[in-house]
Amino acid sequence: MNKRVEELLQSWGNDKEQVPDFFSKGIDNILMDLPGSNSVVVETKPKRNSWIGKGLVAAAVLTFGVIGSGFVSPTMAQVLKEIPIIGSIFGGSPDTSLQMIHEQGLASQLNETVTNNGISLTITEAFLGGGRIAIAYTIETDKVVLQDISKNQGVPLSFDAQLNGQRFDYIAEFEQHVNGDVATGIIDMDYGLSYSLIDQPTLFLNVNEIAGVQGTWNFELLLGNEATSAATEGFAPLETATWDEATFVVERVEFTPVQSQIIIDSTMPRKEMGNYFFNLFDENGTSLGFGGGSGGAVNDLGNGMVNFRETVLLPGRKEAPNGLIIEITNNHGILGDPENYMEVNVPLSDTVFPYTINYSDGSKLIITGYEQLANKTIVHYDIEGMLSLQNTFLMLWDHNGEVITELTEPERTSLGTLSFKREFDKSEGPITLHTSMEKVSTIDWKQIEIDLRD
Amino acid sequence: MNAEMLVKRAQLGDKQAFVQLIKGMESSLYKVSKAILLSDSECLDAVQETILIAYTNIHQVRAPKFFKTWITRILINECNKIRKVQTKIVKMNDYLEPTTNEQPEVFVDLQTAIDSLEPELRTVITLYYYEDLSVKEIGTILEIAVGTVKSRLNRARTKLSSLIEGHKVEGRLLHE
Repeated sequence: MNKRVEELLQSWGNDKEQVPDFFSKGIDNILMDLPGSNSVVVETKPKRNSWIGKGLVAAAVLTFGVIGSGFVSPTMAQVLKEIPIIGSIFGGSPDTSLQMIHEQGLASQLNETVTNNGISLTITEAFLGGGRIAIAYTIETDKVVLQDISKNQGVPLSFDAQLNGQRFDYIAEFEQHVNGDVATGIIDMDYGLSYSLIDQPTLFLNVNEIAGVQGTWNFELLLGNEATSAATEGFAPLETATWDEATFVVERVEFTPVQSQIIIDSTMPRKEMGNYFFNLFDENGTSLGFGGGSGGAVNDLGNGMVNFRETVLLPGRKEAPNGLIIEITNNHGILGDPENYMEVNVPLSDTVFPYTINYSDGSKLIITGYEQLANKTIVHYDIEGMLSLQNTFLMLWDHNGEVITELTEPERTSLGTLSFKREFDKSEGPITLHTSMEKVSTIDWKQIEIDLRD
Repeated sequence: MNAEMLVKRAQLGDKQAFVQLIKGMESSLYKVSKAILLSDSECLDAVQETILIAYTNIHQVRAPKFFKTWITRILINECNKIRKVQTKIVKMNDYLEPTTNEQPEVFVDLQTAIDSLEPELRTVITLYYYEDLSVKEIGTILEIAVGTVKSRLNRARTKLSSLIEGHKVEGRLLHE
């Protein structure tokens, strides 16, 4: 490669040019128009022409018939043979929720192989549940070099997917581990729940590129099984809450060991869309976490009212809680004003505990103590008021102002009180806790309590 | 405040943190969109749509360090959507590649040479040199394999060499 061009490119890359003024102003405009809260996703999904899906399915089925060979080489056979011993591909994932698929025996065993252009792709197992599809695979080839890929750090293969002949929206992530000419990996997909799935839908997986090699590896996979159904706890509480002109109906709640989901039907004035968001807790007020979300099509009801369904995805749980507390917050369409925020710094080494941080809505965060252990730093705190405060933004700085890495999510330490701890990396010397808050509260909140075992 | 802290705060619903995050990326967003689209106004359309999508979905970023690759991926998708519409309304002749017999124009200015590359090559050059992303990250963003990223980078460098230095590349000039 031409050395001068490389130098020019390096220099070009370092020259961070000014953007045109109108472009910068255009960005400012859209930022000013953002709704005040970003915790609820409401997207309008256009209806798709059904003939497109049917055509693609027909093509996929036809191609599958031509390409599918079922050939399994001795190397691949050995890998497949070893999978149960090493604990399945899901069992080897660093993702604890995917490990759960193996531990609870929730995967459907498939072992279907397609070979094309010198590359054999085998789908070994698959899981469907809680708004998540996970597909374990092996790739065997001596044609190209396969690569290790950590979660969300690369794309080992490209594909299109359809469920029951319909295209659907999903976000896919990958992980892959290579041993010689054989890679084992997982395609991990979150999909929006505008889709009402039957218990055992068929996934058409049309892989068109592996490790840079284009080809056709088509599969027709029957997902779902009795084990997953048995491990899934579903509820239809149909609990309704109202807030001014807005009505929320908790339609469906589903807990699986891998992922959980809550579907809420909302009706409200169009102008209030984006003002409300939800935080989910168990019956004791412990956060159920947050794993994403999606929204269905917005239906115009006339008179300025709209209706839509939202899916809130949550981490998996081995057992469903006995109840739910849904904390709904309403920002009344007021945009976050930077002048309304204040920084709070608490030098922990010089503080007498308990130390209370008072929020403008009346909620409290009470720092009860901290520990500087050999391998980590732990901050203990209680909360009063908004349950969401247990997950509030907290940072630790060392005496040089460097950020001390947070190691874990907040953990409840007592069921009798709203007491929590958060673990950070090890630290020495004086440390400071940092957070920020609104000077004047612009957010109201309400809690709905739902007894799931009723 | 560093970008990872801003991402974390934005995920917790802090709109101001999101605003700071985006303003800090203004130049990157412009450059990446410009690598794919023809006009500044189309770039702004794509970036504005990207900001809306990112704002409502930022909780899907599983680790703050992945925010940059995540939003760049969204932006490229939005740019490609606009580009597809352009492709439909532009005459096919406008897309005919020069034949290998044609003498390539010799560009003195690197930016002009980069602008003359096909969008696929311009995009990887921008992501690699301007955004300082690794080939792995570029692969993730563009949903292509690492080997494809490397080959596109090599093709782009070779073409740029040719355009700037006037070197002839045997039989493959301006062909994907």
